[in-house]
Amino acid sequence: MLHIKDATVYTMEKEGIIENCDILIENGKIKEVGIGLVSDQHAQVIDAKGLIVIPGIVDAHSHVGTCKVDNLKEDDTNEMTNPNSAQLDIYYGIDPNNPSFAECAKDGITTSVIAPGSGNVFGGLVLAMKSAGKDFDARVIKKPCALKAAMGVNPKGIYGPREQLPMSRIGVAQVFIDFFESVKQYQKKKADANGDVSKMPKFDRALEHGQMVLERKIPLKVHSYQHDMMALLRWKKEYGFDLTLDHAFGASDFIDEIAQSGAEVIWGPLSGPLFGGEGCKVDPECLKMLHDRGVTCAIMTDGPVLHPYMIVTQAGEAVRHGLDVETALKMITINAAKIARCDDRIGSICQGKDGDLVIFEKMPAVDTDAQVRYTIIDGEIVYQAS
Amino acid sequence: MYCIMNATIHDGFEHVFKGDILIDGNKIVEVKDHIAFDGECYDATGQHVFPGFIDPMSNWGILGPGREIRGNAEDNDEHTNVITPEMDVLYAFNGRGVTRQQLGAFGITSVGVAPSSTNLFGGKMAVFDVDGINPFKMCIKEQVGLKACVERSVCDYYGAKNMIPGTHMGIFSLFQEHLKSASEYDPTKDDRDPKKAAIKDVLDKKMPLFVCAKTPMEVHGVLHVLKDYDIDLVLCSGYGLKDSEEELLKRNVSVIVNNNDIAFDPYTEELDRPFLYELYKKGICVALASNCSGTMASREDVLWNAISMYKVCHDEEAVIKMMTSNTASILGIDHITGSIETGKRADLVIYSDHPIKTYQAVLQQTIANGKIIYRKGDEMKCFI
Repeated sequence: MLHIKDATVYTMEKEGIIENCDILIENGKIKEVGIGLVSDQHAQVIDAKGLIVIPGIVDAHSHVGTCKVDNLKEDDTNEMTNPNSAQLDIYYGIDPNNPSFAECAKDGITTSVIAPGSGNVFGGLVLAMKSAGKDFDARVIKKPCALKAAMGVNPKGIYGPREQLPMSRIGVAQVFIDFFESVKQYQKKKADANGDVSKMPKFDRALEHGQMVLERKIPLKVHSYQHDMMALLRWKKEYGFDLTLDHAFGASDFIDEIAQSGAEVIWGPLSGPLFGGEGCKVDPECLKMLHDRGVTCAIMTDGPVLHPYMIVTQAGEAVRHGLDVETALKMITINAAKIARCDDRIGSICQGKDGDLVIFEKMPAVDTDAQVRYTIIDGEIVYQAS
Repeated sequence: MYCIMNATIHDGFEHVFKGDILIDGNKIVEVKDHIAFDGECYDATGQHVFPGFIDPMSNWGILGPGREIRGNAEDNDEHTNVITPEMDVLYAFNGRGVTRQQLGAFGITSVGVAPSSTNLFGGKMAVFDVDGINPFKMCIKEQVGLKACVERSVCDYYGAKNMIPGTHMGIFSLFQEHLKSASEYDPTKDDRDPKKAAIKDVLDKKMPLFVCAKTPMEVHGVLHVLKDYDIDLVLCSGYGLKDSEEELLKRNVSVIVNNNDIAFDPYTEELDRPFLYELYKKGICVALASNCSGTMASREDVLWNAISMYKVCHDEEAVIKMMTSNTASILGIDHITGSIETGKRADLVIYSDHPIKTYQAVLQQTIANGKIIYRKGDEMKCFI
């Protein structure tokens, strides 16, 4: 049993912020949250007086574990051999011993939603896994949690120079439309077969994954910036899938449309100058605007593009651009968990959820020098500051 | 005339005091605890005023606006010859390219601009305003320094074409050879040789040499090659310095520190910030940059670099100095800007709180060369 004593706890639940609060964790799960809790004499105690506890940070869009930052030749992120690679599964591209996971744990990211890269229009299945744990399969908490897709410049940049479809945005759009039409046809053939195995269409893993999207078992998770988001909102309506707009720079130009669509936004990574196309508007202020209109937003590092600590820095910049602190922190905890459909287990501090916590000295997203003192995953201390 | 009243003033030299700042045209004409003035005032009660931040070594104004129809190189990247010291970045700078970035919204009022890191000797650097159109009007100082690079990037490009340098041996061999021939160059007797002339300006201490070096081996190589030359040296990146501490202190080398929030730089872990702060305390002039490798930088980088520095030293005024007066001093513009003093240019940034300490500090106003270039709430522009 782990007993955290006397902390300021940001629960990310309706209880809000609780001062002088204790948390008991047993068998990897949060057993109790409240003031003046009693544990048995064998419990490991962390005196957290003056410290801040938030739920383990969830990075809603990452590629950690799929490539080596110091050797990009060892890349399992992008299978750039076919723009429609919906049949793939990131599960087979992750090295659970990749050093990026330890870096995540050190900086307070306890769960990463790991996706194939954006080199293909359809990249494959996405999963959510923890930065530490017993073994690979025990660390995976949701699989799949989305199908990855990409608009715009990355597929163009890969296939264009090869003189292959898609070399342009009209080409990318056609790959999208053709895929979902194929999935609909596949679904129809299955329905028409009405249980008759001989009439069933030939099994197609890519279309199976597309079917999960059209049946809204998983959302479509799409690399999208600026006006590309509007094309996606049309297809969302037309085909009826759940959608996350990942990166979402320029969203402040389309607040009404996004708010009405029911799409969720995973924003970041904040870096770079203004440039043409996907970088033509960079607008951290969009997070407050979207939140005020009821859009569920999360903040990402696109790990390992940005170091994991940059998730807190970006939450801080969202505060600088008008967001209140608790909401900014929700965007790296409970909102990210909800978007990844993992909020039954992670993202907030309440009885029954996984024992994933980060204990900060000073206030994250306010004090620039807020420092992770402990990271706890499934009730185990996986990082402790020296 | 314009007066900023009741501000907490951070002058860029680690001093913090309450007072008023009077601006006339583009100059600060008075700084004191109370100025009797009944003209246009800005009430900065509870707010903090800093010298405008300076990004010392960047490619702002080079990138864009947009690609041209023909040509595929960045305009600071003439990789047809590994030795191009005679070339001057002044002719590549596009005022609209930097104005569009609205760096004023990030507290930045001047930028040093450098040639790329593809060539061993890339060319001459210059410092510019961040708001304007005409590069010659925006130029605060030209011939600020000579940019050199001894990083792997030089070998990666030329070695792949079976040209020297394919290795660091090749880099330092060329480096030695060009220093020597420039030292023997006499423009009054010899034929015109702009390459030698440019390097000779460095040897004559008319301008400093800015060298990008990332590994301990590269830093050591630079110091070794230069050991018989008395020049002003600025090492750029901030990586790989620790092994050469004694030599750095002896030569009084200046240091420009790269921001390292992007994890794909294989040397990023080598940025030893506690050591850089130690160097600062020992009198080394340390300045913070966005990205001094001559490629794309983020508009937030200088601020984030400062925050990363603050995290390790908790000395916020030292960090402000590394973004303002130290930077100005390295670029040779400290008599013009980089501090809040009577007679300096009115390059100022006003925040609601200390931006290095808290994310709740919101930028209120940025004044560059006496002109308000950004006010809180101004619309952020779009590239196209």
